[in-house]
Amino acid sequence: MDVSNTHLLDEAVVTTTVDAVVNWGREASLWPFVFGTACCAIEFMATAASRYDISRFGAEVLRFSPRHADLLIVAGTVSYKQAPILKQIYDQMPEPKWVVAVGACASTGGFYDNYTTLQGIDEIIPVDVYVAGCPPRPEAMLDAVLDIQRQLKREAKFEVRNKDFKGKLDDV
Amino acid sequence: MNDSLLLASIMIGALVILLPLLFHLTKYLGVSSDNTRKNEPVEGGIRLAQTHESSFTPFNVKFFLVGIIFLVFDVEVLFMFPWALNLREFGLFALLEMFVFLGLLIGGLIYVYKSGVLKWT
Amino acid sequence: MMSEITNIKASQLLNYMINLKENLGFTLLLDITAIDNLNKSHPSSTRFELVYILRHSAFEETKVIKVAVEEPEEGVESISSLFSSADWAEREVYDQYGIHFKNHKMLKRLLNHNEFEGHPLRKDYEITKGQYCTTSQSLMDEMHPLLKERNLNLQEDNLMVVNLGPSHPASHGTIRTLAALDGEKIVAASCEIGYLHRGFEKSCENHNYNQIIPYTDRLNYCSAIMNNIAFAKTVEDMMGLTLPERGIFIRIIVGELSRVIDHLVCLAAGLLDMGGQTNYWYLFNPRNNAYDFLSKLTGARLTNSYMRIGGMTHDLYEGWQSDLEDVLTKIDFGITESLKMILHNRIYNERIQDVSPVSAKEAIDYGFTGPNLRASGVAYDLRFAKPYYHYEDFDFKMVVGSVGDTYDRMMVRFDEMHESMKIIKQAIKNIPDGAISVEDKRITMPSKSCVYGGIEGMMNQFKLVIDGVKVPEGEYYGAYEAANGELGFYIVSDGSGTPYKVKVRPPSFYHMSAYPKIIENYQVADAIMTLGSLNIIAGEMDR
Repeated sequence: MDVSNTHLLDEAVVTTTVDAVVNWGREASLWPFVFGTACCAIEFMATAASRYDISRFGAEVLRFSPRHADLLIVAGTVSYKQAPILKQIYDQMPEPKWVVAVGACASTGGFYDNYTTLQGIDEIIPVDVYVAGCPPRPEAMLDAVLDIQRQLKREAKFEVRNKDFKGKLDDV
Repeated sequence: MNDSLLLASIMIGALVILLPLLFHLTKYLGVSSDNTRKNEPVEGGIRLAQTHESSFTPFNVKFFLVGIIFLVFDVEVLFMFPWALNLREFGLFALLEMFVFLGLLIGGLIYVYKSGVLKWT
Repeated sequence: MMSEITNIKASQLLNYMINLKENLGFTLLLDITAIDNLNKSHPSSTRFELVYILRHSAFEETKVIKVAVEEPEEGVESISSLFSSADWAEREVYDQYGIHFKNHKMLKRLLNHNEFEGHPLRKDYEITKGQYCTTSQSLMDEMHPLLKERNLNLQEDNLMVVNLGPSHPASHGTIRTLAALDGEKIVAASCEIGYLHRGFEKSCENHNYNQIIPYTDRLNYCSAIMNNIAFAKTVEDMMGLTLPERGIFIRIIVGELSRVIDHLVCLAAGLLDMGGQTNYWYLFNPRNNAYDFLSKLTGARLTNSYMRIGGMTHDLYEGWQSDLEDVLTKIDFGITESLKMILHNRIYNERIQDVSPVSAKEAIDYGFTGPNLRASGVAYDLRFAKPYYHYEDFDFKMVVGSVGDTYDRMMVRFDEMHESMKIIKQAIKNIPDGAISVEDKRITMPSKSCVYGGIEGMMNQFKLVIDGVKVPEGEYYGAYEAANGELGFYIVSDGSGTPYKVKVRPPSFYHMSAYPKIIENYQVADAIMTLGSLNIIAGEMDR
């Protein structure tokens, strides 16, 4: 199934009005937790600054505690040393939660194919949107947030997302 | 019934109904997953089990002291609110009575200041 | 030209170092690294050699000393009793090469995680062999000796141990500090770094010199072009190249612009931590204008990769002067507005004055360089001590502080931005025309018309891309005054287009090694401000 073809999916998933209202509440006020490690975090800071305002899309309240957040933005390289930290932060977020992997390093390890870089955060946590770029332009990050909002609208609200995901650090 | 009493009872009634309603809505309608790590305390991503054996670590008494002192003075301010609204009716006697009350508490504040509790280091 | 190297025996090491420090005046230990000679074509006496790089107290001369290590398990004497900066430098050499240091207080891994087995920078460690880490380490093994030194007991003194964790809004990047608190006051602290270790040095051994330029971008990602220039300049010095005048002026202009935007990030983030969010908007907005200029010039906003060995990719575009002057005006406006708000602001002044002062002697001992060292009152700026690229012809001042507290470190950066903008304006006026790269077929890529036009051009391009620029055999330490301090590269070349070894001398690494010591007896809130003022860029510190 071609998942980029959104109107196909709209017919497959039946959403009620209650779903629509709840999902509207969720998408218009995503609270991001910025897990910024490297250069992509600087570009994220520029996205949150006044020119490419991310608060236009509702995601203004940058929360620094995973307990208050629902959107985990991983911006920057995640090394093997950092991986348990990321997993712990992801686990401590309450449901429902979405994950954006910003940049080449978070998506696939970037051009650091070596002994210390995790080759993509999807080895340990489920990712919803990948943003390409090194670092991606702020408009690309805003597009990712909009994409999350589009994905949100299609979901039925009572299900736990990503139940079947099995990460490398899950059994520890 | 008095206007302000009606208003107060509507407000209290609304809160009594609304707050439990919201909590129950999120509990029964919201999603949650059972995850053994979810309930661990947040400490910047480090699992607490590695630095301390339990969360019952010694807690410095300075924080407690500041909290208690704040509480005392906050309640003092709380008492001043109904007094301020009805001062015109009661007149000079109520004003002097409040000065006595404040004076006693300011005495307490001077003692607290002199004994150095308000310094952080 | 190559560095003059003094070879000494391991048994003489400690006495030689004492002599250097006390009698000959080499008080600043720049870096300690090691070389694994396994794959070298001319074998040397031992597999491992240690390299010590020191700078004289008059800041002009550097000395490179090599020590042959017979047995890595036995190792050599540690010099951390002489130089505090040797503490972490030796831990890193142990971590990456497996060389032990006797009498080191806490010899354990620094950059790689605690479950890592092996020593990655050894030539027989395969580059792609990654090892998962399942749990972070509890740093209590470092905390207990610290508490014992200070005669403190966790239970009796009611100390609370807290992680100013790797995921923290105010730890710029991922730095973990374990602090023992008495109320709000920090009595002992220990740091863990390495969360952004990305294997820069091992990657360098697998790529040719021009392919390393994008890796250098991501070292200090706030001022990426300066890292490019520092690396390219080191290789060009090894090859004995001089850039044409226009190339030098372009390097000065974009280098100083990068310095300004780096200081803007440091100050904006530092002031944001204090709660002055408006300063963040005022200081970050002109950065976007600078990014517009840089993206028009180089193609990327942040990680530009503009420089190449022997020059740069392309010339400045038509109309660059007005764009750049516009950027400078906006930056000036941002700085002026921000200073209006904070200079006479009581909160700003009382929060950061007299917080974590570092005296001049301590700063040199810790290995500080750059604005942090100048804030402590030491007048060391490589652009004045050993000028390169005609810096001696420009009219600008060195900004020096007095006490070395957080206030000094931040105000030095404000003033340095003004000085850098002066340099840029002078350079814009005086920039000559001409070539931008060295005109040598073995170094600079031919123009595309030659490549597509004839077989010689195509072969030239092919050889340069596949083999890389060949650097003569030898070892060299090249230093550059980056925004954060002295950014040095120690390059070991075996004559081919791929370096045998590249070691970065990161200024932030040494600033961070001092951090747990300078935050003692200050409150947690002060520690956050100190961290902001030191400008720790994790990409550079962890490499």
